Amino acid sequence: MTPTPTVVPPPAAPPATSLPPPPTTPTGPAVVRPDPLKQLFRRVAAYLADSPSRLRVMGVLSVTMCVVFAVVAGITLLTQSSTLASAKGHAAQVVRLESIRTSLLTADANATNAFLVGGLESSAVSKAYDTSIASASASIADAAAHEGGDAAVLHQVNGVVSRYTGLVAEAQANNRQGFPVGAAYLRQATALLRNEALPQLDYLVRLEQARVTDAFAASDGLSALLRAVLVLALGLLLVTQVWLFVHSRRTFNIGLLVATLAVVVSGAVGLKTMSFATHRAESVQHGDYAAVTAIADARVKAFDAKSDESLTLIARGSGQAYETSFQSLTTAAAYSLLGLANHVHASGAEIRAADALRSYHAVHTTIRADDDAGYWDQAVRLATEQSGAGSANEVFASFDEASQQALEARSYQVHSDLSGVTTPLIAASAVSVVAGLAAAIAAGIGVSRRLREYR
Amino acid sequence: MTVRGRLTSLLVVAGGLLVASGCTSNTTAVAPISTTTTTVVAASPATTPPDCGNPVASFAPDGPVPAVGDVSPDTFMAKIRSRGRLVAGVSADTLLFGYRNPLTGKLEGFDIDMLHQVAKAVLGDPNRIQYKVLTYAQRIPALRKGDVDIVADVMTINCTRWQQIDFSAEYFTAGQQVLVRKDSSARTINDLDGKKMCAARGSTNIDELKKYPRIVVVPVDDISDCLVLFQQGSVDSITGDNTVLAGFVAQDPYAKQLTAPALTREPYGLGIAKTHPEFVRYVNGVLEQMHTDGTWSRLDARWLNPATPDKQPTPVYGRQP
Repeated sequence: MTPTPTVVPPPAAPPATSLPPPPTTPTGPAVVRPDPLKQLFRRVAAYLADSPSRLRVMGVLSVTMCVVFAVVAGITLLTQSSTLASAKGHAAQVVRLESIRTSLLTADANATNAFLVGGLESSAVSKAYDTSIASASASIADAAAHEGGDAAVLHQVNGVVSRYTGLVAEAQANNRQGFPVGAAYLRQATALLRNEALPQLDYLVRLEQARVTDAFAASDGLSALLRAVLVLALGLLLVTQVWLFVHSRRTFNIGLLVATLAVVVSGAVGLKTMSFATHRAESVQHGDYAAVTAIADARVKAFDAKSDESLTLIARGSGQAYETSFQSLTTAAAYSLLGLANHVHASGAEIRAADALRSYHAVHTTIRADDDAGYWDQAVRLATEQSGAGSANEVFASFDEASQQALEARSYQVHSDLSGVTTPLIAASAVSVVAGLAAAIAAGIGVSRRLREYR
Repeated sequence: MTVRGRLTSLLVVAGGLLVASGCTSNTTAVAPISTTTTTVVAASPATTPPDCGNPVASFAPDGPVPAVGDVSPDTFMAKIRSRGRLVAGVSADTLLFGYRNPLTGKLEGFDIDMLHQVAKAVLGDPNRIQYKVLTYAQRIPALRKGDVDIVADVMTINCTRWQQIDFSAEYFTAGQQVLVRKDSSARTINDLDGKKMCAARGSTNIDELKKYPRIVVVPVDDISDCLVLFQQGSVDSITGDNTVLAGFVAQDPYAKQLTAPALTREPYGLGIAKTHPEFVRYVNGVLEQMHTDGTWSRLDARWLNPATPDKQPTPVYGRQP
């Protein structure tokens, strides 16, 4: 048709088309390269032209969708169960870490108090110091063993604690010989703890709290996925049944009906369990878990403040920085606790803890007033005497006891509430898998019976 | 809290020791005091060591110390009396001078006993003292803010400090010295070039080290932190007054002072704010009395030189407020 191309490039020739594929063997323009996709469509259309084939396809899709439903429902429910379990684990880790902090602060408060009293440290105080150090070490080991626990940082903290106890021992040895350099050792010990152990623990606490929040958030998005798969599976099953109803004399296909029922029931169970778990998780997050965080935080701040009180007295007139820190710490602690204690669901222990903190602050006010008015000895006595109604230690001990009780109650509640949803989730997951697979089998049987009638 | 007179409340507020954390009231209450101190600062040339004549010259006492209670009403002594106690800035860890005895929990030492003498003269009771433990660097600011009436804390009299505060007559003579490990072969400070030497911030000792630029200075807030660093091996030596270092040697059998002569002469005086020279005169009277009745020698023997007694430095007067 076209003249054989000359070597001279024809200016009229379309510029874009290149010369290379020279039509040396001119073929008909209609027979272009066959499009595989189009061919496939054509074949599918030809295949679907007859009813049995259409039914077969719908049957295969329904069965597949039932299997998909089984798998997705099983996985989403199990995932939610495991994320909530991990939230539970991280929440427990938060409590463990906070207990390390309070133990260390208690130890430090006892060490500084013993120094403040002067003379041979009382056996009660040195025993309290030993107990706190032992419980801090135990908590560190415990927290490090916890899966996902940040062992490296905790080992570092452990190292700091042993250096700390070394310095305190050095301070005591000097004290016993009447050497005032003991005070300098104690000062160094306290600074070490506050600069190299407490901030690290604080970092870990924040990390674990973020993990708890993430776990709670992760469990939220799962129900949408389950719902989508459920709708798809049910839709296919229904379309197949409607098609059968239209194309045959039978009203019902038992197999498909059973499959639909199984999917509906297990889907409903799965969704219901999931939403129950989500609601429970939300209420735990904003209720008991928030309370755990608030109480633990208040405890750490109050113990820190108690040390500040001793440090202010040791500094004897130049401890304004400690006193400022005391005020801001106790204010923050009171804020955390009062928010809780004023709530309708406040427990007795929480109300007692908030009251005790208030009483302790009042004793502290007296201590400061005594010291400021020049009665340092009296202030020290009030701050350090171990017993005696209304002494700082006694009032603080009642805060410690009440807040510890409140903390334990709340964290037990977090544990049991979250444990209470993981079992139903696992059960629902098993039910969905079984029901989904059963639905697949039933749908398969139902459709293949109908197909046999076409032969 | 019971407020005993306007000054007490001022002091309490100035110390910032309000139980309620009120920073605003703090500034307003301190204002009148800081105004007077600003004038002092404005009058002083900035950097070079000023000439103030003989640094140890103080204000002459107005005759012998009057009987307890016999003070004119508008004096600073009357204020102390109406408050009922002397507020004193001290050290709590300078063995022999001002330290907290770990066995009793009480503050003791030569400086503390000086304060007992002043309290006895003004108030009739040597124990009516409220102590405030200060670091070296906090001493002058505490006086200028009115947080303390008097500082007795191994404080060297010099012209730079005279511009900020007043001093009593010299009550003890010390000298800057260096402490090293017992096995050290160093004989003078020059043998310690390139080595780490600990010194307290805000001390005359750390200023003196500027003359030895090859020494690596490790500054700390509290000179007793130097002993901790020394015992931990973080520094090779400590510089401080020989009085302070003697206390360190007493606490550490592995330490010794260099045998070379002291680097400087450090005359100690009791620091008092510039606003009440009558109190300086009064304290100088007390110091003279201690000379006459032998109290100074008794205290020197008790704390410092049981074997070879020192002589109380002869007071020099002639400075005018």
